[in-house]
Amino acid sequence: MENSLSVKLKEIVGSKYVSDDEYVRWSYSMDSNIYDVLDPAPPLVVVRPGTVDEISEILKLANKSKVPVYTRGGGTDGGGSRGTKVRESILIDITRLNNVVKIDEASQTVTVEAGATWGKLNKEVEEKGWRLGYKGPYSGYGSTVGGSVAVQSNGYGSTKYGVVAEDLTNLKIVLPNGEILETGSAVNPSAKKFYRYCIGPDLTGIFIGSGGCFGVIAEVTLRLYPKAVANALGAYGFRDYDSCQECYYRWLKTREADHVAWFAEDGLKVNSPDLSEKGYVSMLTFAVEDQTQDLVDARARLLHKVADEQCGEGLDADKYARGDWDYKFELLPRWAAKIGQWQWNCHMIPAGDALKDLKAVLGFLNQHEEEFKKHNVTHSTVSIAHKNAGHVSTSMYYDQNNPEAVILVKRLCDKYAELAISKNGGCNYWLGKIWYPYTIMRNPVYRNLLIKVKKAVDPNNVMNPGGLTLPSNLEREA
Amino acid sequence: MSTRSRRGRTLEDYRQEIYLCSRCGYCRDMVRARDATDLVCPIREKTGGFDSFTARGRNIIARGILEGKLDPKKISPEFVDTLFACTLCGSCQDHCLSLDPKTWDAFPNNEFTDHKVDVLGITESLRSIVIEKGDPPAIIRQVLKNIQLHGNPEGRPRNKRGGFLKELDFHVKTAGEGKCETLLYVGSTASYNERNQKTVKAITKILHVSNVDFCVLSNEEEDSGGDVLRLGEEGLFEELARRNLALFKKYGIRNLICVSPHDYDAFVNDYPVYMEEWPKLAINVPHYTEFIAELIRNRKIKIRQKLDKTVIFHDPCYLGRINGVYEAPREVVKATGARIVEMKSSRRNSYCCGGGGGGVWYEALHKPRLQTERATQACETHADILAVACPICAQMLEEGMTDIEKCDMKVQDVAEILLEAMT
Repeated sequence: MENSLSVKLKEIVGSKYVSDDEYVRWSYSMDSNIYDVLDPAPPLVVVRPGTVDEISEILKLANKSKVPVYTRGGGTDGGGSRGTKVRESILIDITRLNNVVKIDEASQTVTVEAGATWGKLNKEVEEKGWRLGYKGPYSGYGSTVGGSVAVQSNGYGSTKYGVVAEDLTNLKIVLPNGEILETGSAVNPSAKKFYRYCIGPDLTGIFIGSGGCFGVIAEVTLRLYPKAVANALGAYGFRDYDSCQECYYRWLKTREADHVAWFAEDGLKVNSPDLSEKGYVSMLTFAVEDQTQDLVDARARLLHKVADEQCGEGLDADKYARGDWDYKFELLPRWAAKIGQWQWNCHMIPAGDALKDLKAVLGFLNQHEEEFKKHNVTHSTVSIAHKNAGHVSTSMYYDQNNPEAVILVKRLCDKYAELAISKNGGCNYWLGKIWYPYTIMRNPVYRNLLIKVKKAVDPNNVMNPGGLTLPSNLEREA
Repeated sequence: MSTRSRRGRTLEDYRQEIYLCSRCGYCRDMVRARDATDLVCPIREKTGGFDSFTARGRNIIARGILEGKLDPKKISPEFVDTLFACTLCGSCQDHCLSLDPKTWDAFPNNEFTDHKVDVLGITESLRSIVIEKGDPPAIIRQVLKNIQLHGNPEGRPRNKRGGFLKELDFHVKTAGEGKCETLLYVGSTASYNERNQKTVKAITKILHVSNVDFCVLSNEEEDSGGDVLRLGEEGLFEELARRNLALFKKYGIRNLICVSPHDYDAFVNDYPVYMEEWPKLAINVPHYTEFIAELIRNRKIKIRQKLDKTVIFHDPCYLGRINGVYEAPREVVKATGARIVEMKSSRRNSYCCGGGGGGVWYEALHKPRLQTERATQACETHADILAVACPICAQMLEEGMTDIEKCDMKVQDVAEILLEAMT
């Protein structure tokens, strides 16, 4: 017997796009992260709206019925941003809203529906002679632009352009009560979507990294850059960590690399074991792309000069750096097939403190080496740079079919986060249960303000209740 | 040994592969800036598009069953529809990056078997659960019953299987009429369908005028069981395979020319793993386009009039993407002098006609009509002919063309096109 909620949702989006079938719901029970592996949670009903107005009607219905709403994009969430009431929720699968709405030459921006994948967006802007600064997370073929904004992702291009938020000019949000909010310059109905910090306070920021707790991100506008016609790559091996840190720091200081990656010892063993065998403790790689060959050459020259000064030993860039850049978005599933499902432990750390953090992290991993070996878990630590910050990420690769390995990785992820965030002073940029106990939960002033904002924007607490560690029951907390 | 075949594996036997899925979602969307990839799952695009339609979603469901969180005895009608709506076109598997590491550098031009998660096999094993439970869609049940009782999906009389070849103005040897090393295996789809009988007649004429010594099994021919296996009925497939094996042994078949890529796939990939004796027979199995392309290369084919036409070729999933045969049908068309242009979705990115995996019989709940979409894509090229090399594709795309106004494009088998140039 069909439930009344489904009937009402079908009136909004059409019967084709609503399902409360047990098997269909189950196919939405997990994303990529280990929390979902341990506790898959199928929603109450899945709905696939095709327009912003339909989202608005769904949220009005949810508010009236006091049913939780969880919004899902590509389903590649690696940190565990789902709240506590997914099983009772309407899950909005946003991927029917997947159009590139407008490439506005005058504004040098692209407006895209939230359910479009990064793969699609990159392709379409490049076909029109542009490129994105931040190009999407490592899962970019499958992950959506809206999802990245909601969980604040980093990835390709972050070294030069920062995380997704930093090229973001405007959002279109469906608020929990169904109202549609435009942010940035689009607050002015006569204005184009071209600027974020104008008109009044930056409300855009509330929704970035919000985990879908304050509304549904429906459209995103991003800055564009001229299409790259050339690129250059570099790879350097280091036999001591201090030289590597110095090179890494100076590369970031130049602000000339589009992508910088630091493969620590364990990362080298996994990615380039031949270099480990030759006695290197680290490898640094860079990628530069630009609109003319001259610009690329000049920028690459500077980076090569720094590496030479820091005693980096030049390596075959085609062998060691090209794959990471040219085959962007393709690496993680490949590694999953080779050594197991990944669980990231990412955090940012000041560029100058990266080595201190890395050493602590590697020490921690070494302490648990026996356990890793026992359960066939592989770890790889790579630091991808973010402008002035190092982004240290240890991936733990495990067999999902080995319950003991799953439990081990979950336990060590928690400990790792405690070390990296509490002791080393790192910060998570994206969201998830891995980090909350060491960040939001430790700062009552910040968390209480979030609760107040939540109560103001979403008084019935329908949007991803329990997300961001906000209370499942707002009244009880109050 | 190919891993293409399900090899009798149950869902439990697929456990390792199911848990290998990283849920990256590339089976759902994988648009790459650096090449022409566009759409991964045509069925997802044309239905409700829930994750249950994707390989990732089905792997999550399979985990639910294996972990006892979903009761396989209570598979819902909606999921049954989802399972049988899938045309097993292999596109999701072909986009999956769970690759054998030795083959990373080849991507995206990998062999189909380089992909470590056997999405087709997992889907077939889920279908098997539905079949065993006795709850497949009614038309699927009927098709299986027809094949079991009559040796063909439509339940047509066995003694009418080969009659259409008597309409030719030359005699086509049947097995038993003397030596028969080279068998033209017509297959069920082509034996009874009038449209496809034309294709078979064209193939036999080409072989005849090229002086190929070949035979057919006529009414003695059995269904290959390829589609039966795809539908999840493994027991019936094994029975059919045994019968075919006995027939091929009885007549000393050395070359097995297949009209349908689906039969070709079964003989090439499934028979060797299900039938222990099969490899010992060392039967050479070409698709007819491969066989004819070889005749062309050996100058056994004489072209009398070059065709002044533009042709697009629709790659059948079970010939191209799944078995890697892309060039042979194009060689046959090129031999006629016709101009070949490629559709946007061609070769390994070919868009399924909608007929595979049982789609030719089962119309899913939301009527995806892939045949109409593919015919529309073809018409947008303004070519003269949409060439096919699969009886199911021919049937589906001709049907799709009827949905489109103002498109004069003809659907022709490559054998028909070649024959036109030969006469």
